[in-house]
Amino acid sequence: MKSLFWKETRENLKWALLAAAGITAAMFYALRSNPNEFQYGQETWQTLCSKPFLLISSFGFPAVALALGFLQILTELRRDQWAFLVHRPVTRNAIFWGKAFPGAMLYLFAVLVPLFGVAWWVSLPGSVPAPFDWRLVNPPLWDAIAALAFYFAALQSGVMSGPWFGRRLLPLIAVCFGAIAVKNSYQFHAAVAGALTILTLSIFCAWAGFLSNGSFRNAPAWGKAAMAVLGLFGLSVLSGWWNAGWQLISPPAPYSGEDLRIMKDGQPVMVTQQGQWMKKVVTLDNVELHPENKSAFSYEDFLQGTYLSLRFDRQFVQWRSARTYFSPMNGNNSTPVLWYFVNGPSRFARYGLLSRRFEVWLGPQGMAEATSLPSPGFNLLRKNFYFYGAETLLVCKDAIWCPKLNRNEVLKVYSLPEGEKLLGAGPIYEQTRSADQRFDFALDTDRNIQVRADDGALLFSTPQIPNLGNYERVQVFRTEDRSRYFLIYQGRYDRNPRPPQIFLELSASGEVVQRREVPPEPQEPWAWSLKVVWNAAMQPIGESLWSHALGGLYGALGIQEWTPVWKFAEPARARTLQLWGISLLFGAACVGAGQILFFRLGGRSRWGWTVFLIFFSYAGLLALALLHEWPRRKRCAGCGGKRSLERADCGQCGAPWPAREPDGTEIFEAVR
Amino acid sequence: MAEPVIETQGLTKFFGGRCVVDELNLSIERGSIFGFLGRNGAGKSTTIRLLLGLLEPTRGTSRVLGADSRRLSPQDRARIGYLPEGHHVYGWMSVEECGRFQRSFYDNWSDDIFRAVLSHFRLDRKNKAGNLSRGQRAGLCLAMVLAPEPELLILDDPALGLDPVARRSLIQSMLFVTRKADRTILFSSHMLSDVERVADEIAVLDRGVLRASCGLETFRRQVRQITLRHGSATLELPRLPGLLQTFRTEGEISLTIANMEASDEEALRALPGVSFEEEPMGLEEAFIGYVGDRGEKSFFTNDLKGTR
Repeated sequence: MKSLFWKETRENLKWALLAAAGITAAMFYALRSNPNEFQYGQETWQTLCSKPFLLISSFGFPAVALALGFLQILTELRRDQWAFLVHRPVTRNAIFWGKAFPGAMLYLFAVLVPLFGVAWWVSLPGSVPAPFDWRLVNPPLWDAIAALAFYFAALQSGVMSGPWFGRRLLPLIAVCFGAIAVKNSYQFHAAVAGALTILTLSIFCAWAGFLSNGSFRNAPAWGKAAMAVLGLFGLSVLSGWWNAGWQLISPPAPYSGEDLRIMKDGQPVMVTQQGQWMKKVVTLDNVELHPENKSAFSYEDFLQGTYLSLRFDRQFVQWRSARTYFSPMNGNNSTPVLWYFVNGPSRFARYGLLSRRFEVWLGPQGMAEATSLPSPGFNLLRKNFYFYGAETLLVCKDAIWCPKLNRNEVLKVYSLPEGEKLLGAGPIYEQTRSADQRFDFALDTDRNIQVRADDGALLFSTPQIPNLGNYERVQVFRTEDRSRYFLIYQGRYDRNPRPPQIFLELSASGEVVQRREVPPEPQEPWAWSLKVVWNAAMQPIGESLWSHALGGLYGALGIQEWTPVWKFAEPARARTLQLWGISLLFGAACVGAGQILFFRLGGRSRWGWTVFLIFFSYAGLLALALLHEWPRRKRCAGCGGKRSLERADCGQCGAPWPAREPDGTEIFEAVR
Repeated sequence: MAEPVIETQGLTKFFGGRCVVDELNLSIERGSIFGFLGRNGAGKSTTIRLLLGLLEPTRGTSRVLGADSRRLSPQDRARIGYLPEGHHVYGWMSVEECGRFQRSFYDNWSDDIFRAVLSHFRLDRKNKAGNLSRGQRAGLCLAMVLAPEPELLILDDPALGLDPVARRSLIQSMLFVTRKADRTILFSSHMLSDVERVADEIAVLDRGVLRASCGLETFRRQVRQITLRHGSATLELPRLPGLLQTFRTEGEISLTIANMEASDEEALRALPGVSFEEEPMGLEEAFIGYVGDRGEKSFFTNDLKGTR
């Protein structure tokens, strides 16, 4: 196998070097670091996680993998050259790994050497005026891992025989699933699961393709299973593309729902909204309001609130964002320095815009030289913090801080008393206010809601409502003349029935002037309908069980909350089981329909496919029809039925193929 | 009788709905040099690929060196030398590297044979394979195939595209294998002079159907060309079971017949006013007559009247 490694490496190294050069050039182009472009919209401060850079890893890496895979297999697949290679006294296993291992290594070389080279350059002081964390490599690295599946799909597609749309094209479509999972998953574990699942399947499929000489039917059982499952992923990608395409032709209806809002004059109203359109506005006493001089109310007619969390302990961060590790602070454009909040040491870092170098730390104890790391940092309430707004509050477990970065300081504006728990804080919204203007902020603890000035002076405090555990969050509003405040408590979505929204009107001193309870929007009662049955039938039972099991795995790993179906509250449990039953029945119906296909298959594979169809119903049937080789049939001269060309006798009447009539010109001589 | 080196039973291959090899029953004895003949598209290369397990038969079986073709182990393959059509070598490798690459797959490798074949084709070991002429490439491939000293050598149209000198060198090198009596060669070719020179048995495949499998001499003997000269405008022929081709010109009928019985000859000789002449046939004429278009053709000078 060593000589195969040598041959493949020598043969394809030039392509890998070419790809590496192209990728490196593209990466540096994406990173071209004009400091004036360090703006929010550009996001080039995200360096390895910036949009242009991730565009290269999301699309460039798969392109390199596909190109290397096809170059490696198609040049060898010239009929006689391939025959010459595989006739050599070596196992198919060795031929596959002799090709795939160096090929995969060359691909990884072509993408990872540029990636880590560029990452090393970015990490050098003076390269980019932004913090660097080696974990920034994660998103493009997982793009590279997901794209490795394209390499194996190219090998599989090249080696498989048969119709191009089934055994050849479907694997190429299927591996897009892994790349899409890495690109679009909000959470890291989902991206990793998607990428590794597809990569593993693609390796097994390509391997099985080599072992079976490009035939699906002759592949080992594990190879057939892998190809079938990969085929299902391919169909799922196709279905996603179909839906996306269909939405371009027939866009879905915009969001429609009711929302409790407060008019500029302080009147609470229930707004029925459809997309951006405020369709109907009624008071809590059910009197419909109409705007003056315009056809409909708009957002400007309502007060904007400040959201305070009541229960969330975990803040999800899109794992492909550099904000997971650090965030730029406002004011980056107007001063010759750039400020970032760095999550790891939990403090601010200042970079010189011209020197592009790190200058100082700013923490609870004040400024510190770049070489020293003052301790401790800010003890943030939530692990990671996003900074987007003009005014920033650092909400810590025991205090609230207000950064004044233009003055190189952070002010402590609130200290939590013993025995209380801080839940959240945010500046009170004001329509017109410049960045350096004073502001007030609201905070909530498990006991009260307070409004304070930005120097920490208390304006008022009001106790939290009872049964706080039933509520998700509270919105704080203030009229423009600062004479009245309003609170809206929103009930938790996972409570059944959902608790009513609570509206409180407070005076400027925090006394409750008005209290109303607004029942939640009535839910349409769940009922059986043809659409419900159709949707259940269209979701194969295998997919439902797989999702549920995967949720269980994530639950066991502590990544996300999960409740097993048998612990669902009624009627959700009964309904879920009924819907699963419909999926199962539809799967069984597909087994019935599949008998037409099974008729051509013999032996044990028929039983394997029966189980497959029960689990994956119509999708399994389609995958089976696309992937399997179906023996040609011819009409039998004996019984008139169709008989397989592959059998020596007719499956129905047992007749052999008719012997050819000699015409007298045959010349046969007995063997010596 | 010794176990045959190659044996097929009802070997059939369909590509889609097209039958390429049809119920092939073939047996090749150890020690023979077997020529595999047929027109383009007759199914020769497909049969060879079926024998080597490179293609899956639609039905039927084949065994090579006692092993099922579909399950040839690396050890079995090491005993079979295979030279595919086109003489593909990796152009970026030098002649030396080609040899080293090939040698790494074989336990049994004779550097002497490899060197001998290279020198027979006057190949410089440092030359890039991509720079070699077609004949030299064929020589290199043959050197790579012969050096492991295979028991069975299968060559798929090895002389394709080679000049007469290169062809002669190729045949000489190929025959080197048969210096040991138990070595067998199966080769397909269109160069019937080459076949005539080396083969002792042949098989003729016509549109996927095996129509002849016999000794070379038997084939030449069994395919005969008879010319009948006569004075009449038309001549009624007796029924001839092995009649392949009839070619009529004015006063003359040329017949190509396979398996002509003595009674057929007598019937022809007995035709009134007809002179019977047999023309000796080489393998090439016999082959063309045998697999060429069947039926009756004519060429009358009257047909040319009115043309310029």
